[in-house]
Amino acid sequence: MIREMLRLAVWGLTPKRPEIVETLHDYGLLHVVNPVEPTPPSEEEETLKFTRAKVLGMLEGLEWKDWPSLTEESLAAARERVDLGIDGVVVEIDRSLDSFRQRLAALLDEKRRLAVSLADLKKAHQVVFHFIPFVSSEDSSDRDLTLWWVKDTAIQKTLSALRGRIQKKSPEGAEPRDTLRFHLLNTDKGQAVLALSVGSAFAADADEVMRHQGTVPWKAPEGFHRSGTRETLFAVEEGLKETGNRLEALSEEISRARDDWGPRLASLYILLDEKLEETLVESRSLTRGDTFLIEGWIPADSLESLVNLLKSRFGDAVLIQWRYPSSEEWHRVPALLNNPAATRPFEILLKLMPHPLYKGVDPTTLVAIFFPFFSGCMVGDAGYGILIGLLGLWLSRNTRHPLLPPVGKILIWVCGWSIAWGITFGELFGDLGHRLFHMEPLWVERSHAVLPVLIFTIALGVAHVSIGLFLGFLEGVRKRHRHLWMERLGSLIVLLSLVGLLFIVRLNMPRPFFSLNISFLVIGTALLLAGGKLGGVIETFSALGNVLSYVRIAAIGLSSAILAIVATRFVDVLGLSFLGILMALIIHILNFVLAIGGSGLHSARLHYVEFFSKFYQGGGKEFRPFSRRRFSWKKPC
Amino acid sequence: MEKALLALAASLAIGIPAMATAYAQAKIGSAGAGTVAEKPETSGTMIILEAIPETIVILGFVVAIMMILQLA
Repeated sequence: MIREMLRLAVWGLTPKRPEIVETLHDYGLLHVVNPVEPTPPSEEEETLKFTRAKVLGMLEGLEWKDWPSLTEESLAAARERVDLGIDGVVVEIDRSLDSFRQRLAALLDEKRRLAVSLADLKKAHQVVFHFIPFVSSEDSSDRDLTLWWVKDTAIQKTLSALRGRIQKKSPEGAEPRDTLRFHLLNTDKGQAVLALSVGSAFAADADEVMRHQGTVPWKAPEGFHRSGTRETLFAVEEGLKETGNRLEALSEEISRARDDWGPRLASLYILLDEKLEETLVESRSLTRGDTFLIEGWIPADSLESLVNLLKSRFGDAVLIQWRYPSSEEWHRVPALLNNPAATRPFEILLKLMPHPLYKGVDPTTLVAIFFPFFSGCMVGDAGYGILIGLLGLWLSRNTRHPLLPPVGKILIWVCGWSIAWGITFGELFGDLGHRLFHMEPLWVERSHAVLPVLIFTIALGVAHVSIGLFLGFLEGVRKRHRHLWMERLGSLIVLLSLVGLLFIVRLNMPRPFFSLNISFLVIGTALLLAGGKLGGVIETFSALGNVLSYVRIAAIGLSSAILAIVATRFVDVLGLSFLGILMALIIHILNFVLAIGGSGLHSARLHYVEFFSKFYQGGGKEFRPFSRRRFSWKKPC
Repeated sequence: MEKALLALAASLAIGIPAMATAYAQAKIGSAGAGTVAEKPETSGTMIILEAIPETIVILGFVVAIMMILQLA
């Protein structure tokens, strides 16, 4: 159901405004309506917004995301520590944040720089690792060692040119291989690194030939180049170890800062956000001389407690007025759903639809009755029902995401109906229940008797659509919308008459029944034409289509039942072996996932398309109370 | 022969609408994903639009079941 609302006006003395606004904020049940057009943001608002953005930026820099870990207690403690009532305090916080931000930025910059350097060193280490033995063996005062980038295709040509030059400069009879030694490393980019070792006398010639051949000297990453090749390679190896260690230490430091500062900054972010909200309410309140006015909507049953609270704190410094909304302003009144704890989880299914109108129908209770009933009928297996129940229990206790507990509770409802339908159809993991425990169906075995289940689901459709049409009729009457109630009533009468006609023909009932039914059909059609003209007749055909759509309950149930039987048959075919049990298990898991996903999706669709279209009117305003963020913290966008 | 034709008709009764629905849902789904990315509040409408073509498969399924029952 939707809670009754009252329009509340709080008049107060301007000097008391911050305290009154804070009290309303603490109370948290007033949907504030701004009485004046938004004014340009004040300097205080700008400062708060800027500081809040800065805190959020730092939280992102720290990569802190553990918002659900914040508790009411930690937030209350932070509120006591930080007094945001004075402008100077915000400025002081801003300064402290600046100094911390600079330190954090320096740490993050160094981390980024070291990460880039480490990546370069890792690339260079491939070369170092390959050439260190060669370079160590060739390291002597009469040898010159150099490293070059050479294209794969140019290696032979380059080496020939080098040999030619050395041979030309060598004394008669000397073999070039005594002077020229090399080692090669092929990389995967069509290039190779060539390590050259030549006698010191030929160093200049080798350099000239290599450059002439278009090769490029290999260079160590910046900061690791040394005078000799051997020293450079060892510097790279050493640098790799040191950079890795430094990066690890830095990451640990940032992680410590994240653990220490993350929750504090997050609390500060929430406090700043709350302070900003209060400032906005204050600045947008209507001021008349020494008094101000704050207006809003409040649930009628909360009025007394709020009045008592304000009167006890501020006495004659506040004046409170209230009234019921007129029917002309119903569309402006926020709608606050109020359902019992058992059916409240089903409110999440309405989140996908436009918010209900104030004085409209809240279908949560009906969804709570029919959604698990349809889903359970589609699953129709006691074994899967037990698994769904276990999953529901786990999800309902999981607080990592606000959506998980209600989803878990819905699954527990689905579990109950799945077990009930499983017993009705005699299914426990397909026909395993029958094989092991001689489980027999209470009604029919749906994999064999398809027609009774089909007829039953069509009957379900008639009942569900009829309820929808009846609610639509009531809505029309309540809102004095003649066309609406006539059309819905006409559709309902035509639908039920057609069903009645089917029964009369099928059961060969006496002629007066037939005449009576035809009379109803005529009355229904007349109402349809009067209410919706030709569109109303088309609407009735669509309602008949809607009824047929409920056959999906049987169709999905049938496929689920057959898949479960197929899973067990694998054990028949492959024997009670590892492979047989594994195959059966895989198919059961697949069927279980399909059962949860398919039943939920199709049950939701039956509600959204077939049921809601008959009466539900969205377009209402959501109730957004001026309240502390308590358990509604969200990751900031 | 009559039984074979009935079986073929039943398979066509569900197969053709299934393919048509798959085609329609693919088109609606891709457009819907884009719309929801732009306007998350349209999720409910998109689910409804995505689900509408399925009805034709359900009708095909009913016709196929009728034929198969005749076959039996």
